Amino acid sequence: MVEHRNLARAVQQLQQRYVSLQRWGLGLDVLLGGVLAALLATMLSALFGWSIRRLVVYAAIAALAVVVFAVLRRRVRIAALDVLVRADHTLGFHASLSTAYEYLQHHALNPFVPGLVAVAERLAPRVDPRRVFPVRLPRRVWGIPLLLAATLGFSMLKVTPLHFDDAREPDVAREVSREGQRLEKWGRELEELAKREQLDRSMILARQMQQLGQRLQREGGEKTRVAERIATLSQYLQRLQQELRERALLGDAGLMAAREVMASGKSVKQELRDILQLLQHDTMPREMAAMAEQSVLRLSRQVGQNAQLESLLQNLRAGDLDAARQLLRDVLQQQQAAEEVEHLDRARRALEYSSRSIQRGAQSDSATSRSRPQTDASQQGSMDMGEDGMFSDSMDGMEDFPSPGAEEGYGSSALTRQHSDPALRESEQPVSNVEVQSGEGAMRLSYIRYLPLQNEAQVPIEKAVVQYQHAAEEVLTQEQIPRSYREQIKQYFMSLGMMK
Amino acid sequence: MTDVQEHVAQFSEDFQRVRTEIAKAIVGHVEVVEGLLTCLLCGGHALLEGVPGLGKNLLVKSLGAALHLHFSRIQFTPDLMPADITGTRVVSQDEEGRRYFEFQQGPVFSNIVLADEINRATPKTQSALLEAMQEQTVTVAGVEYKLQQPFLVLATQNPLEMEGTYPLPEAQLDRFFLKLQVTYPSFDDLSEIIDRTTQRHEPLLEPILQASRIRDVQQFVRDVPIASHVKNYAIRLVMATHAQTPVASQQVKRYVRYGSSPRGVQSLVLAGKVRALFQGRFHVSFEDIRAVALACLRHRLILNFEGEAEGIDSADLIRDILEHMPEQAPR
Repeated sequence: MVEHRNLARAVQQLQQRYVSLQRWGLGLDVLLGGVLAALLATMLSALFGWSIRRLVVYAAIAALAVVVFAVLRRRVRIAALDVLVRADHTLGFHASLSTAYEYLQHHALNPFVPGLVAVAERLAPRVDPRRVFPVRLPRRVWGIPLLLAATLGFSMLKVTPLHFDDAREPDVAREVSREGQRLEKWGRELEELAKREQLDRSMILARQMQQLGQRLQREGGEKTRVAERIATLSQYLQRLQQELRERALLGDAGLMAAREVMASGKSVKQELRDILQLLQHDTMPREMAAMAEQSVLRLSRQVGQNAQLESLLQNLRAGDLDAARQLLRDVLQQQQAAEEVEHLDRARRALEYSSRSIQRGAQSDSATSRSRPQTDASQQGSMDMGEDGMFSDSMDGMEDFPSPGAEEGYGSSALTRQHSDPALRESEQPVSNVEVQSGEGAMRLSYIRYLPLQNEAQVPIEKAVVQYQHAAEEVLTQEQIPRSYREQIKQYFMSLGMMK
Repeated sequence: MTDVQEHVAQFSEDFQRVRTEIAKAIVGHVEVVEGLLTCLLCGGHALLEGVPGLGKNLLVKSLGAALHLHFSRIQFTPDLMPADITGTRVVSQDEEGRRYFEFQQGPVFSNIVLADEINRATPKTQSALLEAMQEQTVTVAGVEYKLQQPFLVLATQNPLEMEGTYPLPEAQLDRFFLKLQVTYPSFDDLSEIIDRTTQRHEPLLEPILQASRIRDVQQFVRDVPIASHVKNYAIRLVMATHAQTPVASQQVKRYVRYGSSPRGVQSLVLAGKVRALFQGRFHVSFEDIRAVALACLRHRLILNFEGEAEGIDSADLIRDILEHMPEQAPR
């Protein structure tokens, strides 16, 4: 092998120079990419109000850039022949170095090689790596300080984050989904409790809660209000569950259902409280004892055969006031539990309604329909009825517990409430035919269905209509209704009066 | 100094002396002389193109005289027959009166053959040179005769008078190693020509190199190193003359019907090696390839009808290729 130290040294120097320059260039490119990414992150963070801290984002970008650089820098290399070709070209050596190196490596027996290498050895010390590979900063590198300045400037700007409904929807959906998970969890716990206590109705309710929770997780929601309401409801259910667990009174209310209402207008609960009030004194006059006994008998007639009421009656007749008071307290506790179960049932239905609202976003429609309950009754019946036949205006959130209709008995009855058929029964009476004048056009016929069934309502329709009529007249006199609609409203109430 | 360095130094000295000797008779035409010497050292043949009266004949004759080689001249005419070139069998009689056929060598049996105005002979006669040029042999009546070495055909053709000429077929054109343009002399050269040719004494050339020395140099030349990237450059140049290749220029795609054959790249590399030695280098460089590219390739490009109709010069196409071809292949 011909001696070629100078050539080898030149090759080494050229390769080192090339690799170091390329790595610098690579580092600058990675830095440019990192700064660009940082600027983008800063802009997005400012515009959309990311919750992640910017320093964390910058640190992540820097770490990624270091990894990329570490991986790519290993790939920077160049063959000896390539650097010599470049040196020949730059220094005008007429391919002397590259030819000598190539023939040394692959054609060492060629007779020209000694002469060729001798020339190359003479030329090699003149190789200046800095001249062959001069430092040339690419133009794009000048963008680094500009991007840095832009990043700094943007991070100092106080920009109000943009809010897009579509962009915020996933947050609400997550919240609703979380509430759904909680509901499902409580439902499972309630179901276990109900199984242990052998309470069938509570078990069904617990399962429905689980299903509702699963639906909420699956379908999500679109309104913040929905999420808040569901959260309130969930808290309510959680408290209720805790309370019931403490009392262990998740039993079926049976004949002593909280919704029973006495003919006098008092609820069963009120009647029981009145009796307990009578029994507060240790010694009771005969008249008061007779009054309490009459009240118990009235209750028995109302709710039918009941073992607890019979025991209470026997205790009263035997003069055992302590036992009677204790029994009354137990019955009242059961009554309270029954009401709680009722509330749970209402909560379930309210959640189902919320879920439907999430799907069709029709909460505003239900609010609008509540403001005009009579004018479009047929549509209201078809759109706002729940699966269990509940009107939508009794389910607009937790403020509806208990619903006004249930408390006052308007438009509902024991028969309709006990009915398990999800479809509302249509009245068997002929529909009311109301002739009204609407604007300048022809007469329009409106059909009103779903009037209270005969002998089923607790409040007579005459009484209810009179109340509504007074309210309507008051509104008319205050001129809150447009003039063109006043006559229409008057005719409506007149038609109701004609029906009577 | 190594043996090779001594060889190269000797080579440079010898051929400098040859050039000096030829320059006694030929004024100017340095590139043509160098081209003829290149053909001689590479074992190729040259096609000289130029108008009459530029000293083509004198140039070839001077070359033969300076190299101590046998020289013959064939004037190509339409009635020239192949046998007039190769030789023929004639009836001879020995001392006892017996007759026999004897092969009488034609003018092709020479070291340097000047085929003057080669395009005036018929294609049949032109093709008689084919075997001699390619195989360095002549076959007459089934007998093959070897030509003397070195063997160099120098053909001339007149580009002006095309009446009654037979353009050389492409196959024969391709067999010429170089095509050299003999141009008009400059003012100073003309003055020198007048001085030399109007005096009483004509210059007398001395032979410098023997045939054996030339044959040695022919072998020596082939060992000259050429780096792979320089070789790739020569290949890419030739590829660029093919209209269907992606590296071809728009002009080539438009005007060229057939590009250079592989003989083109062979001649590029070999001529580059000779030029490198002329320059005193031990290897071929990009400059060597560029310097010989025009002479090596211009007669190998066959223009299409459009190119012919528009009077495109293939030399311009090659210059365009040289101008735009990068030394390093794009990665």
